[in-house]
Amino acid sequence: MAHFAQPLRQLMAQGAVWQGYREQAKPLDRVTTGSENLDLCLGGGWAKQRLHEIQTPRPFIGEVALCLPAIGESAQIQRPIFWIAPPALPYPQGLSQATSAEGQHIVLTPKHMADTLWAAEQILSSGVAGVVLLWASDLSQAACRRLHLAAQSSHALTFVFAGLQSDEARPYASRLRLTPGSSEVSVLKRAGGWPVTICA
Amino acid sequence: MRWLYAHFPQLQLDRLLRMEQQLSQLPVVLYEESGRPQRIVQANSAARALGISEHMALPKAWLMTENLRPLAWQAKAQAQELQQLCAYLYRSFSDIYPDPPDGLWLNLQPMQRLHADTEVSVQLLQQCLAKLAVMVRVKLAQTPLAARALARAQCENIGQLPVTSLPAEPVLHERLQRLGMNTLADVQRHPRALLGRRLGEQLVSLLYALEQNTQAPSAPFHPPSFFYQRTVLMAEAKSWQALQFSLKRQLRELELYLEGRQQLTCQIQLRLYHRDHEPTSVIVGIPHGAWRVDEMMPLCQLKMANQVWVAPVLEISLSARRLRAREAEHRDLWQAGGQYQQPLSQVLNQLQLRLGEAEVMGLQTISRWVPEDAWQRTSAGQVLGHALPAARPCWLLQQPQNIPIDLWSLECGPERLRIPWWSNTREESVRDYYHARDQEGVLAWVFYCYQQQQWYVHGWFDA
Repeated sequence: MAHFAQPLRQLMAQGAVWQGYREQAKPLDRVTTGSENLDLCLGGGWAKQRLHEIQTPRPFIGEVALCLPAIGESAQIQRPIFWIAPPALPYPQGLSQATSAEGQHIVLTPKHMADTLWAAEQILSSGVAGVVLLWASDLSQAACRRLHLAAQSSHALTFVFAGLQSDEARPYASRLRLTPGSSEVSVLKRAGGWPVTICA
Repeated sequence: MRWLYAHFPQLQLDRLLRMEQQLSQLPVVLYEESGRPQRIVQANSAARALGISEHMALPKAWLMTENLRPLAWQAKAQAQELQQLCAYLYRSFSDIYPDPPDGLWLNLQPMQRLHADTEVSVQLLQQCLAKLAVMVRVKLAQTPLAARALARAQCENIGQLPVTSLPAEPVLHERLQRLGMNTLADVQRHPRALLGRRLGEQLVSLLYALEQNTQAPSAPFHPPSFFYQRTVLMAEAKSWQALQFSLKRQLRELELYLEGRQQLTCQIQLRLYHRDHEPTSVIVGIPHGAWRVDEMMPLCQLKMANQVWVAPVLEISLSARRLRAREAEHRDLWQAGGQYQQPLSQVLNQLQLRLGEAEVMGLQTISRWVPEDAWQRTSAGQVLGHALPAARPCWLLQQPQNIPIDLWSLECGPERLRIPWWSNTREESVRDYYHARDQEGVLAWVFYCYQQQQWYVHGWFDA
């Protein structure tokens, strides 16, 4: 049986095998998304210490609006909010109105994708962030897994914004897809449920 | 017995001998380059054994031995060595008075509060100096001038001081010797008034200074307001790994220095000295300040790991001049899960070092009505600030984009803003701002510019 163990260990190291005994003993902290239907769908809201993906065909169609309550809560507990490689300038006047005037917002504009991923991993593993908003399209499985491991050890909520992605499996806790102009949200992956399309 | 004088007859030579161990077996001298003939300033024990002494002319020294190694004496290096020595002793002694080029006084009276017995202070001094491996002659006396004279002439008490070692002109020495007085005891036997009439006022004031003047001899040593340390490496370093150990030791000294003053450093400057090349300078910027070795060492490592040097490194100097007062860190005592949390400044330092200083910024609002001016970049970590009461979008395009307004549907507005000529936009204009939805129904912040008669989209509401 020894020669079967080797490939199994490799699969486990890649994270492709889900092991039932590793279930979390204590329920994760959750933050509301701002929409009751979506909260119900996701089991109470966004789970901390996990990665969440929001796919949008074009930017600014309401993806950050789902994260605004999380940003507000982070500002209240005085943890900084990191914006990594955003598509435009997060406008302080608008943010201050929508969330709170006490938030510490830090914007990073790295020049290369490698720097973007490195920065996200550093921030998550330091444990200092409250919310991390990362714009990165086409994250590979390995990169995603590294971010997932880093997110598990920190108290932050991590959101990854990308374009429309294929169905390949990724270690996100939940994956949403938004359509411009409509309030329909298709939940492609969520903890404890099948994919569903709801009206947020 | 309040004053202690320490004489370092070969301060610079000791440092050079520490650098090259094999030289200590050979007779090594330091000579002064100016003056004809060139005179010897410092000689090591091997040279003294052969009969070479200070103030001897260099050509004469060459006659004594063929294996002589003469090196140029540098006044600046000597002064720096003395300063570093004073800074090192400042840890244990409070009143230090340097006597350039090669001595210093210690006032032991303030130390009596700590060490009641002067013997203890002397032992402490010997312990400190033993670590440095410098040759030193220490003497105690009631007055500073007496202590200095005793240490330099190596006598036991001032009565035995030869007349030639007194700090006076050679004319006076000659006159005293012609009168048959060879030591200070001989001089002290005569009444002062007689001495003053025969030999002049200078001798009387000199005797008074030697016996009774206990005032401080020069300006006291103040530790510098910045950190500088230069160390000689045990062996030549050709790569970063060989340098790490010495650098870590220097960073620990810097940590002690900063801890004692409750400061942070914003920049570390390293200089690597090579044998025949100009020194290499490496600057490690720490925008958010650091004071712990664990924070500074990885930053230095990031900077130095890929550097290639022109020649092996013999000495390394560390200087930290941009210092700033430390602010209290707020840590969460009851962290759920007890997870390790780095301080925010440390994370920001690392990010700025790798990504670049301009790529990491904080945001803050400014109370202005021109949208482009109503925000500013700040150093990361600042809070946002209050917003104007008018509705503003979450995203701003730094260059407004032209739009075909026929395909858009306006919702609420207009809000008229008059942009003055002194704003960041550099041109005076009048704009009417509206909330509008585009073809796909996404809400944006658009405006009509009267000057250019065009419609632009300036920002997006994420809703």
